[in-house]
Amino acid sequence: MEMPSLDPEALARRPELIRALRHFLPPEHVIADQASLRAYECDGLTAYKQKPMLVALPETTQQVSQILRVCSDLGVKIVPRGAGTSLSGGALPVADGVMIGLAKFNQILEIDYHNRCAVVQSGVTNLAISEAVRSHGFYYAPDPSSQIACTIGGNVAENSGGVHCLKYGLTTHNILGLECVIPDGRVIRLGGKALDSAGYDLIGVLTGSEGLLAVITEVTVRILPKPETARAMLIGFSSSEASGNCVASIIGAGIIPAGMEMMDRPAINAAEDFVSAGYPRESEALLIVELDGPKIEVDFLISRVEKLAAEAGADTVRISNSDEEREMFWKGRKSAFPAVGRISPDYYCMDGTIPRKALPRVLSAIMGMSKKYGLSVANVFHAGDGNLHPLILFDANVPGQLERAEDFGSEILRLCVEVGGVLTGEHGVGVEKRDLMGVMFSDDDLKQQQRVKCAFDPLQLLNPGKVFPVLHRCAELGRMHIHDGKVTFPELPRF
Amino acid sequence: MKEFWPNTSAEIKTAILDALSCDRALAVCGGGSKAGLGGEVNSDWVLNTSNFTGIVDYEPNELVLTAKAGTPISEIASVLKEASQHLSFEPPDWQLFLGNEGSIQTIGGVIASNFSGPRRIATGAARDFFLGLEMVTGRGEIIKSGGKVFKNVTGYDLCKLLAGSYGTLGVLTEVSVKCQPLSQKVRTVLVLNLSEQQAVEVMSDGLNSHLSITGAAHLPEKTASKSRVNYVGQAGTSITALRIEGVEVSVIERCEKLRKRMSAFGTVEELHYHNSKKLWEEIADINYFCDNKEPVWRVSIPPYSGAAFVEAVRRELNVEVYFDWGGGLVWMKLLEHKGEKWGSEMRALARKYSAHAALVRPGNVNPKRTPFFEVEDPGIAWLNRQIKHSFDPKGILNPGKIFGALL
Repeated sequence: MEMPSLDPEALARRPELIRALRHFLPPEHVIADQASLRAYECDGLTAYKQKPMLVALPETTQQVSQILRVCSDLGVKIVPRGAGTSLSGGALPVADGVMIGLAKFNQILEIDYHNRCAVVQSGVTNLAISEAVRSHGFYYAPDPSSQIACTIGGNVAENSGGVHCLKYGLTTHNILGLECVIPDGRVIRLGGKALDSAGYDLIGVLTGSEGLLAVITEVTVRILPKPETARAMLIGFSSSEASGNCVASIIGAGIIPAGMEMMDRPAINAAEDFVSAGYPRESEALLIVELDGPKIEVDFLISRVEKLAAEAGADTVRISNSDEEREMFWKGRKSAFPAVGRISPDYYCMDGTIPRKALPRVLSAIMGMSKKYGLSVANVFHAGDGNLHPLILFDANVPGQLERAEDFGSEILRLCVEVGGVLTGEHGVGVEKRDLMGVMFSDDDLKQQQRVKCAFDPLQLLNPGKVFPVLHRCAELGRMHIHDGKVTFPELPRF
Repeated sequence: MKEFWPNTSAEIKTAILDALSCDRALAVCGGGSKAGLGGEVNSDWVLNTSNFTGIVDYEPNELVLTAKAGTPISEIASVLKEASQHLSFEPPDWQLFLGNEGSIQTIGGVIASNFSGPRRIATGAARDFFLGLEMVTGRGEIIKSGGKVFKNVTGYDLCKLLAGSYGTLGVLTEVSVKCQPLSQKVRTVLVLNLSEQQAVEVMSDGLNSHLSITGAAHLPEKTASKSRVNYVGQAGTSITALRIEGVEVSVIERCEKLRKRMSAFGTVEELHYHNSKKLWEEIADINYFCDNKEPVWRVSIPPYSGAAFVEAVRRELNVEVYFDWGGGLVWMKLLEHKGEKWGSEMRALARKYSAHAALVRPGNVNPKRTPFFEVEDPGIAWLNRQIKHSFDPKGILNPGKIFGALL
């Protein structure tokens, strides 16, 4: 993975930078010793490691602004980090840059039940929001698997999903307001407790921008009344095709489950070995379907899904009769990644999204690739929204296996795009899928995205080396080229 | 005067490159259903996307529809209805309100203006259902963003920038939207004779319950009297409406619970399918303010402050109002003209309530003095200019349409 070339000037300015930061940060909040820096060398994508030049741990928005101002003045790169749970290397440091850790932004500032929202600092964890409002019967809907650890600021940066996003949407559908600091140090407050605000939807473009446009310091999230009841079903099938058909017929019947997950046999068995959730080991595919809402509605829909499952040829159907049982059904799925981690020294998690109808084709192609690369694979799939997570099993200590796993993964993602899908459904591009962006986007597509980057960050100092495979200078992107050479526009001064 | 009626993206590109070469601006329009919304575009070159019609791809089980941007929304609605689906953000139809009867509302226009109906509080806005696009930028480049799947974080979400951009960033040629199943059953519980403040509290109570309310509106007596739903029009008092949708058994039970809960606040009635549907269409389409051309403000506000804001306005000005989105959307018709300075006073007052006020129908207010909407914060204004510049550096697309003097 090639990262932007080292800036010797920035490295030479390290002592100057430490002095400048300690001017307004307590000394212990500017981490400069090599041993402590090691804690920040990677995020959830552990294949890539790099120590940052320095780590700054601000406590206030004002301090974030000052850090960004100092860095822009000195031309030093900046990488923001929440809890470091990114699976795409979004928080991978750069050797010549300052990492801004937002762990100290951990306060819930306001809970407003009248307006159904909560105002929280960006380092608050996803789960902490739901816990803070639980006593009033509310929750925050997006629930990525890492919700115990991941921060809401990171969720905004990655537009995180979770198992309930088919019904309740992604982060982008659940955010009302943001406070952020743009690279030149200006603090920008967007939106608030009202649904609409004036001008271009800057909250929309910041959500999922992978920390390349601004550092998020505060988030206003929507909170929802917790559904009265939720029940889950485990439905086993003798083929993934039958299971895919069942998903299609549930959606086709106008039912939008709160969650609908699929696991294949290797994933079922890994999960069962790990948590004994009572999964049917003999099934080739397992569906977990959760319905929530008023009890009478949930009971009614459960019986309809049961019927549709039987029509699709289900081998086994189990329906939860208590919250404990429902949570047990989910426990296997939610711990699928660590469960697979137990059966293989390393695994590589992919994240493409496909139109649901392409599932049989893609799964059988993945089986073919598994033979070709000589690596096993376990599949977990957000079946409701088409987001596929093949887990490629490998051993990094065996020479060549990491490279084979990466090639295997990239072939899967190319196939996802070929069948009308996309490279990443929720984990982000980061460094991991950066060089595959050209599979999905043309040069012109990517250049326009980079112009949006330049709109926020003309010096391109924020989170460099991520998302875009080819670096262009902002001035170069700003130029216009008109056909036939009739008109050319000089570089526009405002850019 | 020059008119372009392109049939392909390449032809749009040519028109844009022509405009760039000749240093001319382009007024971008579709079926004309929102003509008059926003500032006047100062250009005699017009680019009309009406020839971009047709549904490109629709598979009900995928819950995604892709259409050319000029496809009439009526065509999309009927195709979706055949599969018992719909666009659940309830795109409002403002032809009558804006005096554009007989025009055609297109999917591109719906997206480019990002207006959503009463269900927004439950399922989201137009922008939330906008999955992917193809467009031609103000640079004359044909680009795409997003995709045809619901869950996608590959690259920046340019769709969000295009939703509500009023044709100022690029010309949309094709859009993909998420569709949702139609509800089997719809009912509306009415609570009679509440004050505006009581109504806001009651709507909040309903929305905070487990009853999954998908519409919460309040029509003061004068507004209610204009409803063509008999029961509402002839109630002789204010009406607070709460909508419940879903499968039959659930709707019946939740309605019963809601009626019980609401009976503590006032007399309770219930509307069934047809009347219910008609009422929410009237609310979405601003039917109550269609009888003349007085200025109308649309104020997006924290829902619980809706009534207090209106009370503050009433201290200064005679207005007729109604509330949607549980109080979070105030429609306000001015019944008197107090001079042009009122525009900025309205905005200042809105700011005080953390609200945003758009002048959706200027009437006799001079739109040059009081633009459609304003971005007041200098940092946000700078970012808006930067974004505009990144897509349309020469400012050739719909100049003057939004932001007043900002761009």
